Amino acid sequence: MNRRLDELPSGAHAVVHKIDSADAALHRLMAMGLCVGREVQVVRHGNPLILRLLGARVGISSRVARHVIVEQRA
Amino acid sequence: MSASCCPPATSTARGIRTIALAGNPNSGKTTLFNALTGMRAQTANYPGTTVERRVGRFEDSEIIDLPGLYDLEALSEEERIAARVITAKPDAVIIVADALNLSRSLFLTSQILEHGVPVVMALNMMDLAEEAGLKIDAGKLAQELGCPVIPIVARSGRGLDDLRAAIRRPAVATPATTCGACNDCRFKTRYAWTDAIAGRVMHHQSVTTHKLTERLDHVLTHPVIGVMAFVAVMLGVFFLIFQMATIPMDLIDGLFSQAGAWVAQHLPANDLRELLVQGVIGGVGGMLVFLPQICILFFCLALLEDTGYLARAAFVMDRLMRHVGLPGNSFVPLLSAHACAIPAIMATRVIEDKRDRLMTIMVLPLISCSARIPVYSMLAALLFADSAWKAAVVFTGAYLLGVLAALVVSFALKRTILRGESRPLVLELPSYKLPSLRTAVLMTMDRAWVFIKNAGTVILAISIILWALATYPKSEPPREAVALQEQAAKLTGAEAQELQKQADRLIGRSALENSVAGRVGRWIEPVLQPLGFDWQIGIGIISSFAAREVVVSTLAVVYGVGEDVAEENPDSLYDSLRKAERTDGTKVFTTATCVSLLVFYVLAMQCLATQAVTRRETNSWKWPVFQLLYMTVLAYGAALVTFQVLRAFGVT
Repeated sequence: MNRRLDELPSGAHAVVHKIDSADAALHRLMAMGLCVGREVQVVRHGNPLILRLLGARVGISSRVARHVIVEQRA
Repeated sequence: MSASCCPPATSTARGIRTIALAGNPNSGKTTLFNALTGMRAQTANYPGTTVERRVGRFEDSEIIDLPGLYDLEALSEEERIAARVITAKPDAVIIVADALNLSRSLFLTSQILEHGVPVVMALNMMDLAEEAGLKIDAGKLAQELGCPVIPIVARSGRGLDDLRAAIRRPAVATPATTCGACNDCRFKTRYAWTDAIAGRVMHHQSVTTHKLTERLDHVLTHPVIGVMAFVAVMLGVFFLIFQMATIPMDLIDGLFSQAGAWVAQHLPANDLRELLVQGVIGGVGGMLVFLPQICILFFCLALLEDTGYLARAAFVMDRLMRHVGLPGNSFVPLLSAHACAIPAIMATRVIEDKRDRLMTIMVLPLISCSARIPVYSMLAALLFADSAWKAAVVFTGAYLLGVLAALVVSFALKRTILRGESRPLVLELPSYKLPSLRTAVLMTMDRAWVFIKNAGTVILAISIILWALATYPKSEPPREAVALQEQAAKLTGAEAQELQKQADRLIGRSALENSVAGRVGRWIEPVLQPLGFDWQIGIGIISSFAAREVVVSTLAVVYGVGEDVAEENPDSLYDSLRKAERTDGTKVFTTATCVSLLVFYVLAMQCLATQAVTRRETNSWKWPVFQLLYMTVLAYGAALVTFQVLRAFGVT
């Protein structure tokens, strides 16, 4: 089931399904490794939230996370 | 120019090679830059921008430290500048890659390789990678990329000799492999390429972050505990600033007053001597006295940044700061401004977004800095001589008013001239590590130098100008003073000295009254009257432009207490001020006037050195002018309302 990245609980793994904004903040995230088809983990849910992206920890506003549609992995 | 003999001739006519140092933020770029260039780095801005350009010498080459970046094709000012440097084809580019995050480093690498410049990759943090059980085949990676790959540990210096040797080789083979044209999603294609390479050269692909980092972050990024931890850390920094700075500050103060006394003794009494003692020595001392606080602040910030904590502080404060339209990382400058607005404005460089940074710079001088403390002390004593806790309320009120004004103004700016949302947070939280003392010391020295060069020269110039304004035109000593001097000549011992001192005070007071500063004070009196100020306070306000605390000694002179007495025994100054009367016989420092003056000093922009730094950091005259105008209007309006309301309610 597809959900928004900011809705995932802490610890959830997911695969990026769609990014529905071309905002500069999302470009930055994409350069950091958030791309369609790639894996991402939510380390801490909240606003801002913490992601694990390519082995790095990245803090992002939920305002940004809301534009990332993901498919949660079991 | 350099006379180095060993490396072969280079491509540029000048004989100096240009080497750009590129890499992701937190890849250890600055540590490597310091290790390669030593203490010889120079900081300036890229022409026409506010992005800092650090340049250092390495043998016969010039190394440019590019801003930390993830993507050459992005839209931010830093990334555009970095891209411009690389498209200008430097003689070589050193890419600092994080061994713990090779895939991401390769993303940037692929973009740089496409520009066809000679590249050397410094594969940094090899020690941490080994600890995490990661094996990277540097030789194979070099083959894949078509450029030398040197495994290093910038922090300890491991591999640096190999790196130096690789940089010295002038003609680096232009890489054969690039990721190829990207069609629909440039990120996706590029990352497919980086993943493929990383997969071929690495033995253990998924990296787990440091256990310690995870455990610390559990606490330090917590929405409640994290904020409390941040407040505790900042309190600690402030304790250091205010406690440790007093010793060197007293030392500098003492040294300069001794130097002044020495010059006063050894030069004949003339204007040149006064200029040297009061204008130059006083001015340099008045500027250097801020240096200890600034150094301690930047040393602490450099250490905190190096440990990785500053990113967490920005993270936890982000949600709170958003409400007023400021980003989380504006909180450190806002707190630093309680020491001095100048280093705080310099510290806004951590704020990436131009609009966010401007907004922070605009409101920073509203925060009560330490130069306001002597003014608050004086007014608190005038208001409540008998009660320490009431004086404490005055202080707290003044500080709160400053913070409140900063929040209200940023809220207003967000809806008017700096419209729009602040840039949302996207911030890497690097693994915690032990900070490097060397980096912190270099950073502190760099900032101290920027302060001396920019703020210092302005403070010195202003002190000389204000000295001249308060000295010229000269006037005859008043008749009472001459009479006292004559009387003193007839007497000997303590009595004569006392009379002489009284005469000196009268002369000092009348000289100031008749000087340009005194005349301007009288001239602006009609404007200040609605605030409850008389022309003597006007002189004080003018003299504050060198530094706010100067108002105390100026008032001491205009109310005839004598500067030296006011310094040794502030109570006698407060007594005289309390007794001071207007020409109509009413008291000058009524409660209404004191509160109005307090409000004025909390809100007014009376520090031209801050303006000079605003000019430097915004690269435009528009913003310092705007800052001066809005703060003057705000201070005048608030003091006017305060005085008139208090008077209407019968408070005198």
